[in-house]
Amino acid sequence: MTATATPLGTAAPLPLRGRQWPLAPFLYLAPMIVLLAVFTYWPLLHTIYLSFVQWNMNPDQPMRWVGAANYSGIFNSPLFDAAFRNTLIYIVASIPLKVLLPIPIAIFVWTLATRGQVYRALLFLPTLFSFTVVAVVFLWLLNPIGGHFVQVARLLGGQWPNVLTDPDLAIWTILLISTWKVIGFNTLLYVAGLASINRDYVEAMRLDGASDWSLVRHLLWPLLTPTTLFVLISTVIFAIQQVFTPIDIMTEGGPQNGTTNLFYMVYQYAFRTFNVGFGAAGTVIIFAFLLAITLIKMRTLDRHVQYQQ
Amino acid sequence: MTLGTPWRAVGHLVLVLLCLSMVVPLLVALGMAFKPPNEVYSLVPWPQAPTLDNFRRLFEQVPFHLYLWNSVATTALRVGGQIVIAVLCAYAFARWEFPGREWLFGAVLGAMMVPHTLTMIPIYMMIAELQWFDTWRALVIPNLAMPFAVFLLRQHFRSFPRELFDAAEMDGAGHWRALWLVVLPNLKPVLSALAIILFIDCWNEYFWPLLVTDAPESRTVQIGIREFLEADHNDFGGLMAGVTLASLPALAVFFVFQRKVMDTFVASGIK
Amino acid sequence: MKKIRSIISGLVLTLVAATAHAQTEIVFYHYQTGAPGKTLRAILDDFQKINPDVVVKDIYKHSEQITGEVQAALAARRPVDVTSVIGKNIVFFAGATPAVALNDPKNGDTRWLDAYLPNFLDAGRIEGKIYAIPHSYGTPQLYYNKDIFRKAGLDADKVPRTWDEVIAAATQIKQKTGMAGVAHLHASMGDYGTMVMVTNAGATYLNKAGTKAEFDTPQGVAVLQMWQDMAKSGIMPVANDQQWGAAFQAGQMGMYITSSAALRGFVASAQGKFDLGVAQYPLWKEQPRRVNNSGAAIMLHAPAGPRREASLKLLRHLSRQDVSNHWSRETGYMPLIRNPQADPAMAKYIAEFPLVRPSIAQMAETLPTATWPAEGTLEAQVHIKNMLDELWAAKRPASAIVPETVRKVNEALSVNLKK
Repeated sequence: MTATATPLGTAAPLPLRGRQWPLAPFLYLAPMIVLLAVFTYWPLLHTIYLSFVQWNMNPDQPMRWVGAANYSGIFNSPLFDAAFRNTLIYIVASIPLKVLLPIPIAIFVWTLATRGQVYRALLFLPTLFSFTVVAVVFLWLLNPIGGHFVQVARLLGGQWPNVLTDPDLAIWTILLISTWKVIGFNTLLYVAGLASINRDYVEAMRLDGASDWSLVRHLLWPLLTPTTLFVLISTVIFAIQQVFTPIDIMTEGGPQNGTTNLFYMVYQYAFRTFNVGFGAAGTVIIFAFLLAITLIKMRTLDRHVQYQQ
Repeated sequence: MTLGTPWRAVGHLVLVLLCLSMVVPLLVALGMAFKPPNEVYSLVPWPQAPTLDNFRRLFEQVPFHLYLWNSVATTALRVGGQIVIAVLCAYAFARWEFPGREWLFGAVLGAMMVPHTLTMIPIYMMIAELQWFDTWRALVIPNLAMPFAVFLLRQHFRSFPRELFDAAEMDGAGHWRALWLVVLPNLKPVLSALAIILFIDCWNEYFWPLLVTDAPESRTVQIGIREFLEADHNDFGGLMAGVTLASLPALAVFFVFQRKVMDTFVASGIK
Repeated sequence: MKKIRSIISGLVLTLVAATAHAQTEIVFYHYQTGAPGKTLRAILDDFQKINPDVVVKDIYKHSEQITGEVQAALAARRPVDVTSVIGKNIVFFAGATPAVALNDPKNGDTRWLDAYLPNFLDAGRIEGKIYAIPHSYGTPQLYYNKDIFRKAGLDADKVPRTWDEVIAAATQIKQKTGMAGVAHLHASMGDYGTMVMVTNAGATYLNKAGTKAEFDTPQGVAVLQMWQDMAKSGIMPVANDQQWGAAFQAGQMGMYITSSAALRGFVASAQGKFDLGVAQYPLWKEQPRRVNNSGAAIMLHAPAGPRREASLKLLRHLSRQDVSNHWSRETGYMPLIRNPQADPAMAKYIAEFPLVRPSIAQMAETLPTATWPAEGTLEAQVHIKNMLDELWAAKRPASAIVPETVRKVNEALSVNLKK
């Protein structure tokens, strides 16, 4: 096999000096490949192994093989029930808020073209600030003694509810804050997805008498479906991983496990109570969960997209 | 494209409310950074008697200057490293055909699908074994591989004019020089956008530094905010001062390179 | 010959200089921050001046996390020499980590340990070995804002003495001024607050061995029901220690029951803002006062060798009466060396600073903290925290929540009984 030059269309092969296997590309690839092998793929396998042992991170104590005991331990723990239920709530509630709601907003911004500049810049603002900063700011605003919301409620004669200390409300508080953080970014993603539309084409359809609604249905929505899928997947991952920061800063999983999710549960097992086996098993459970969601997506939504196009 | 007037009004109303909700909390925080302690509980967002005292107290309570430095140094190292490694990798995929190319490319992209959750425990154990706690190595090295960057770069390589390459080859330039003389100059916009995205991503990171740093001298600025939050029971003004300082670099970087980021967004479009 | 002698003396001098500069660095984990943190650092700097061959590096960790953080450090083989351990976790720590017995004859004479008040030293005694010395022990106090009292029409000099009086005052504050009336610290995952509440009401928190929770008696349930009612009626905003402390210090809350350790910080914040008052912990229905100490002891983890010797020097220094009393005066922690009033500096301090007298007077009524056992501790403490969250959400009464929690705690602790 000879190496050919870049498939940028050029057909002329790179002249070789008698070597069959080119060395150069592998040298260029080496750092990335080595790093991925060491810090991504090997740990992935090692985690699976660790899910079958019991260890408390103490270098003087050995690891003990316990088979599936970690898995049954997790499934039977009350923490798991709360974590699993909350993870579902985070994901399912995020879909209308973070995936669907930005679409009409994005369509509107797109119709404004260059006049929407200010909106676009402001919508991007929360993305620039770290989630840490966002959590801390909202922690202050929501302070039950003297925070802004409490004071405004008192001025209006009402009582601000215990949004962070009521076990049933707290998760919605965190959901709304995380929506605040990403809705701007997701909107801009959709706007970018619409950017490739030729406006003349739109005018032509208009002249033919197409209504707003039919424009959306037949032109805009099909164009947006790939972006929608992308946003959907990143929202799911966000709901599992990134939401760790506000959970850790604002409620630490409480009250009464009202805001914990599978990831936070794994963190607590592995790094707070030093139960490596439980932590690894929880990680594998999360992985299986994500895999299941991806499969469902491929079965249902991808087919829908292909049909559309 | 035009919309009917009632829809337009509703649209504007919704957007104005939305943008206000984005801006108001941030303005309140900024205002509090300059408020003296007796105004902290006042509803008025801006200080009547602005003061820099909160910043002074912030630096007294915790070594915030160290946190800032740590963030700057580790972010610079990490983003620089990520870009270099990703460029080399994308170049290899775009320039040559070699046995196993598609397979390796799949492996690199596949790694993008592996979230940090799944690998953190063994990496933590590695850090313990190597005694990398509280060093820049723990913050930088495990995160140097960025498949997302490779993905983005390859998209742009695809749109390269082949004449550039032919010209370079005819001049007898080897692959290394071609990379420097031909490819990189044309990648500037993408690299800028990438640098910004990676910078913000690294600067704002919370979870990983939380795990692998311990001593005050080695913490980064986001963890530093948390330390300050827990350290002093009274100083919300100082807390907001820290929040303001921690957010300035990302804001600055963005405003300087704003055009490039927005353009890249539009250009690559997420397909 | 002269040349050789000069060479030799030169070498000897270099060696001496080298060893004189050979310093041992020891690492001290603690949770002191703000003003107490600075005082601690000053004490360590003094110690370094007296012992120039030792350098003490102090690492701050938040009190809610220090137990886990020290464990993490030990597991990661990071140097840990001297650590603050919350009193209730001493037995747990001695079992889970390689702690060093301080009264082991190998570690030198032990007279310095006898200086401590025996009932507090005993918390660190396990089967005759002493693993911890008392250091930052506080006793809970009722702090109140006299200005808010006056605004609510209460007599600022008639401080509430019993819990009934506290609730009545708080209710009046809420009604007349709209401000929060009172809060009671929960501390350490709600464990400390609960322990103090039920002990003062006459119930037993944990049995002597720490292997069973026993506070689901009528008194325990009654006092925890009172805590729920405080949240339900709105006189206590549902928040955490940090927010309550900040609100009280900003003059936004009428009363706050928390450790004497907060004294100096509160005095500093109240200056120029409001008139601060301090009183003893409220009585439960005229029963004698019984409260547990809060705070941390110090344990030794240094490996044998120069680091252990340097650490022992530090511990002895901290146990000197003048150093210990200085620490107490600057922070509000109880003076733990016998006969504190025999120290003239201490006697003068108490005479000139009336606000500290309630805590000194309360020392006689302060019991050692209950100690949790070697295993199941972390899981059990999570149950206590969840219990408080559920109590304050007020969807079920204490009579339903408390026995359930005690059952769960005992389940977690039962692993100790199988030994």
